[in-house]
Amino acid sequence: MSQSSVSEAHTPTTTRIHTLGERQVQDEERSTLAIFWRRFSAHRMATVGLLMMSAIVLYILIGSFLFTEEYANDLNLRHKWEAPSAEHPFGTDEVGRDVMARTIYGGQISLAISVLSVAVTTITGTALGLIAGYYGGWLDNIIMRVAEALLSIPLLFLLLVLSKFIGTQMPEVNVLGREISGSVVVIILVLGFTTWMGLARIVRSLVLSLKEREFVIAARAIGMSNARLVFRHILPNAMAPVIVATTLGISQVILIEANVSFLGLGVQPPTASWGNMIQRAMERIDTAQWLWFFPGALILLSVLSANFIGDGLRDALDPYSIK
Amino acid sequence: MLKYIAGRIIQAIPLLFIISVILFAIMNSIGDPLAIQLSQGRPPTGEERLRMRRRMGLDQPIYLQYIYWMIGNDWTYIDADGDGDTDENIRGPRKGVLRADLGRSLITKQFAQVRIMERLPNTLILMIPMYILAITMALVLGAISALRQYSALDNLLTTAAFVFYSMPIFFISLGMIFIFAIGLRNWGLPHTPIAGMFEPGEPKTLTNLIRHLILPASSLAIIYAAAYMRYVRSSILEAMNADYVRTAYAKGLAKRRIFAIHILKNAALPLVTIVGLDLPFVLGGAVITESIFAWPGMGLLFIESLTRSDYPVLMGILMLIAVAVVVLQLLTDLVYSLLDPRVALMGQTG
Repeated sequence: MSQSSVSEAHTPTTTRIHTLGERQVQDEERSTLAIFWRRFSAHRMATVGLLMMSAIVLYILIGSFLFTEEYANDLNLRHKWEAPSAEHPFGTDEVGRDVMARTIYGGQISLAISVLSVAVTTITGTALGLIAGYYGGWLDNIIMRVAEALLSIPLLFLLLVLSKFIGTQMPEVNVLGREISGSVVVIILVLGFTTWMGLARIVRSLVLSLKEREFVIAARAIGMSNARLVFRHILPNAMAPVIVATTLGISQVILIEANVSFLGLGVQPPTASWGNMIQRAMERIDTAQWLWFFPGALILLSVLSANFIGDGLRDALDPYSIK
Repeated sequence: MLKYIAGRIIQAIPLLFIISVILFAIMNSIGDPLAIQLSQGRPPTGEERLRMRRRMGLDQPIYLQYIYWMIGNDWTYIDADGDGDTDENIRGPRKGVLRADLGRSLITKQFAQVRIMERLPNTLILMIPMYILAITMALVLGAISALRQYSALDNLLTTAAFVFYSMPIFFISLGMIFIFAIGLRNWGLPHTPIAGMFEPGEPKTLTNLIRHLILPASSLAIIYAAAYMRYVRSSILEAMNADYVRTAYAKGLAKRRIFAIHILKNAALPLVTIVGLDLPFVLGGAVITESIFAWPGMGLLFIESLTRSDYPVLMGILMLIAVAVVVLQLLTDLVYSLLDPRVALMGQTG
């Protein structure tokens, strides 16, 4: 899908220019950023997504002033499986921990994992795609074949195997004064290094067409170095699809992390994540609905908002109309 | 055409080689390969271990170990006593994955492929009806949505597709259990069972199986349908705006006929690709769904093997799915080039 739309971007058809003509005249007087913002905010779903995402981020940030992490991880066996009440708005879990406090700290972990692992993915995917597209030849062949091979191995299965044999034996790490399960670091790296393939393909096909464009050939003709050519002329022109892919990547990674943690192989307790909070919900499925509903709904809302934002970005950064 | 098919088959070979190297690397890094072959629970002594390592070929350089893993070492003489010379009459015991030796399960001592084949039918029973349901839903809803573009119904359907596409599979599964198994039971209505393929003690009838199939199959089907519906909608919209459709209207063909022949047929092409690429992953089993509903398929086998560190079965499942992906990708390309002759022609000129 994305590959085909990318290659189309460089052969704009006359009909397309014609229909966009009016819009382009309007856009000429504004800055790129202003155009982008006007397009993005006109996208109703994207605005909803941005609001939803801001609300979730506010919830997990403000929440950490209301509850301490010790409270979120505090066992209280006399109050386990308690239904939502004034004291515990989201109820308590199988060892009497407050579910609301755990959704707050779990949310910080889940969102941090997705942002950081997508950062790893973006760096690896962009770098490998650039190398493959720019240098071509046997290097391109190897990178793209490895990408294809990794795409043939089912991701969830692969992640489960890797996190089982690396993740569960990691010592705790100290981040900004908080003790966090070492499995978090493993999950970030494993996710980052197993999801770069799609992005690498997008970047490669962009680079392949960009490097034949006149401005790149001209830059090369005046003797510009490879590094300068790539970072000044090729990469900036390939940014828009990378940003879109990154946003949509965040939603995918939130889902995958939730699935892995739900199966007990992701983030290890006592550190909470939205996925591992639901791990034992099946035991009391006939009574304790609050146990899976609140973390599950937060996962759904954050995935949904990332998808909405990604969709809006795709329309706003449409390469046809940005000048 | 033949040239195109041959070209595609040749392309698949390096891909399979790289997949095998990746799986071999994972396999070598996650566990002691020796443990896989130890048949009894008794821990071996130091000398026994060394002997075994030599028999398995684990004292050899890594590229030889890879070759032994692929094609076995029963064709070569090995140095069983470790004196530096190969013994003339002792051959290795391994047959290699290419000759269907995936090693024995650490738990049941059966060959890994036997364990997998026991579970495969159960997964197919779940996944085939699920997938048919998902594609039907996607086609019908996607077509309705495209034909009524920008109507209230279209907005409702696309939003719903977005929501379900963003939904974690366990959320929808647990929600369905809450409504259709627990809710209906509490209200005294007929309700669905939660776990397994059959209730223990019940006769194994088809009705019983279908009752157990409803929840896992429909929760998976809704998620897949949501993802596919968006493709169906956009490819039908694209086909509706194509020149040949305008021509068909202009020459006065019946609307129904244009939709069935010109629009739907062309819009189905992209779906063929997506289905072909997804099918092996679908048939590989659904880890989450099968473990929630205790459905004894490949996904549940994978989780069981993972918790008990049963590497041969784990690697067997990964290998099976990876090979299925490559084969189905090949078949998809061939089917696609039959449906759309432009593809093969483009391959020849480019």
